[in-house]
Amino acid sequence: MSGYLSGVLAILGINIIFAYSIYITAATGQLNLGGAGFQAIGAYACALLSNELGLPIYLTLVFSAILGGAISFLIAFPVLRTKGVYMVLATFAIAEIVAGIILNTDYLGGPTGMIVNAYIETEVVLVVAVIIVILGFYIMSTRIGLAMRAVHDDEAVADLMGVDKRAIQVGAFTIGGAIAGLSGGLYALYFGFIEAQYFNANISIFVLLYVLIGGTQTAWGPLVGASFFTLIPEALRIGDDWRFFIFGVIIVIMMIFRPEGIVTRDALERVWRQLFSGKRNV
Amino acid sequence: MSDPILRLEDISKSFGGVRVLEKVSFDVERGSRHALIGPNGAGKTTLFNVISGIHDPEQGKVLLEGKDLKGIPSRKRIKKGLSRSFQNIRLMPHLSVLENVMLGQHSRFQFLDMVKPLNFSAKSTGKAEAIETLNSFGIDLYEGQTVSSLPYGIRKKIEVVRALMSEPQLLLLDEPAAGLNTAETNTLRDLLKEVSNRGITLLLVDHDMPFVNSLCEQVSVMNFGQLIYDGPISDLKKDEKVLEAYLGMDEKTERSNA
Ligand SMILES: Nc1ncnc2c1ncn2[C@@H]1O[C@H](COP(=O)(O)OP(=O)(O)OP(=O)(O)O)[C@@H](O)[C@H]1O
Ligand SMILES: [Mg+2]
Repeated sequence: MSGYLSGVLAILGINIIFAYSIYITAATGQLNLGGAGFQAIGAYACALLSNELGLPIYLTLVFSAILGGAISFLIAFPVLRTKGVYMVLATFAIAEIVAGIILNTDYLGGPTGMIVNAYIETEVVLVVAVIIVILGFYIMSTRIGLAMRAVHDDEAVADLMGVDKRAIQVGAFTIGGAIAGLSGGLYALYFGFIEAQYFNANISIFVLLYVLIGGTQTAWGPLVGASFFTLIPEALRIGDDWRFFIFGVIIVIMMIFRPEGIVTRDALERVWRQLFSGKRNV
Repeated sequence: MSDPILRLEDISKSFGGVRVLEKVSFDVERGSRHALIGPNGAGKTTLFNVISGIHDPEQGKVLLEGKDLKGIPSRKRIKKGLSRSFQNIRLMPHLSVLENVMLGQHSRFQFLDMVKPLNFSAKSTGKAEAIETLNSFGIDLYEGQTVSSLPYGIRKKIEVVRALMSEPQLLLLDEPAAGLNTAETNTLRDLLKEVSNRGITLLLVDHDMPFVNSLCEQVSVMNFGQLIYDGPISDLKKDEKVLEAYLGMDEKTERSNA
């Protein structure tokens, strides 16, 4: 693998994992605009455990996920009291708080960042990405996944059907935080250097857009969205300056033509019927 | 006749100081087909919302199988045998027909069955049963489609089927026949009679009197939040208050049209 290709694939893997973290929450109808904050928590946890305690790589990754999940769980209760645009603001604020804490903590390197001693190859990122994609599809293929989508569509009716809306939302937010933490751990280990400035609002916005534009109705959404937005700019060799412009244009076009995202259930159903000229068991 | 499945005792409810339910009391007998009728705004849907736990009554009690439902959250009432449909169709727009019906089974499953992939363990997750049910109600054609594109009559039917999937003792139906054509109404009547024959108690709100007459034996009538009649449907037309309520309504509509 060439260095360039290997680098693109690693970023792709990290972005896909990160996208699933936001997707799991979005599938229940909650928008998390604080992705970068949870990613930063995982990245710094991983770096510290590796640098200070010399823990093996897989353990540092496990702890990145656990810490991301634990912190998500704790803040899920106040955050999930808010809804819609207020929830977006609350999660955004949390990410800013995380960045603020890191910037002001000398132990974490403050604004100069932190070098990570351990490192991983692209293959590790890709293997973890495959596992997370499978996990995403698995969750959505169960009754729990069905209940999550029901909560997304109509909380009140889901409740009357016996769905524990609170448990579903807190659970999804927690798993989402864990996966975001994991993606942060992988980022730290792959790039070998982390700084608070990297985990900024842009990152949170992009990952949420991957998910919304990929589509939240099926587990394909984050995979397609993250791949699309990671690979297209690379394929077109678009520099960072133009990336924002292209993003903007694509978003406007998407909102006009596919407001529910690239992959929708009806679209899948249609493709399936054409491929097998039969009905699909979904 | 002294073993009602549902007993309402002096239920009162107001919204912003306006009394919508005023000491409503009546019994629904086990296994009966009971209608709840009344002019628009009489409080029928509000009463359903109180029974299903969406609203807490300010006064009064809801007793299901003799047990007070006070303090039991709406989510847990389905496990007590209570299930309902909605006046404005409330199917999940992004779920397929089959998934909507499977959602109706949710309360019957333990966590361990909820984490099994539906496609690989169709039996133990209830998916197979849901598919069978779709077949038996003749809506299997739409199985994989999302509901928003389906004809109104089909969606109404899916709501009733979804409500049945929890295997309820008492089924509350809020205007199941509204908007249906004659053929669809007849199919619905047959369906509900069959449901009733299985021992499920029906409490249904509807404005379609021929439909109500041909299906229900008991009827409770509400007007301006008060119960004005409760008894066999055969005596309904003889009742002064009921005639007045409905005549009064007509006069009002005539006046507002003039
Ligand atoms: N959540 C609410 N907040 C405020 N007012 C409400 C609410 N729900 C119902 N109402 C009012 O309570 C009254 C009774 O409404 P309800 O929907 O129970 O009547 P209904 O008998 O079901 O009428 P319809 O036959 O038109 O469905 C109406 O005046 C309505 O505006
Ligand atoms: Mg009503």
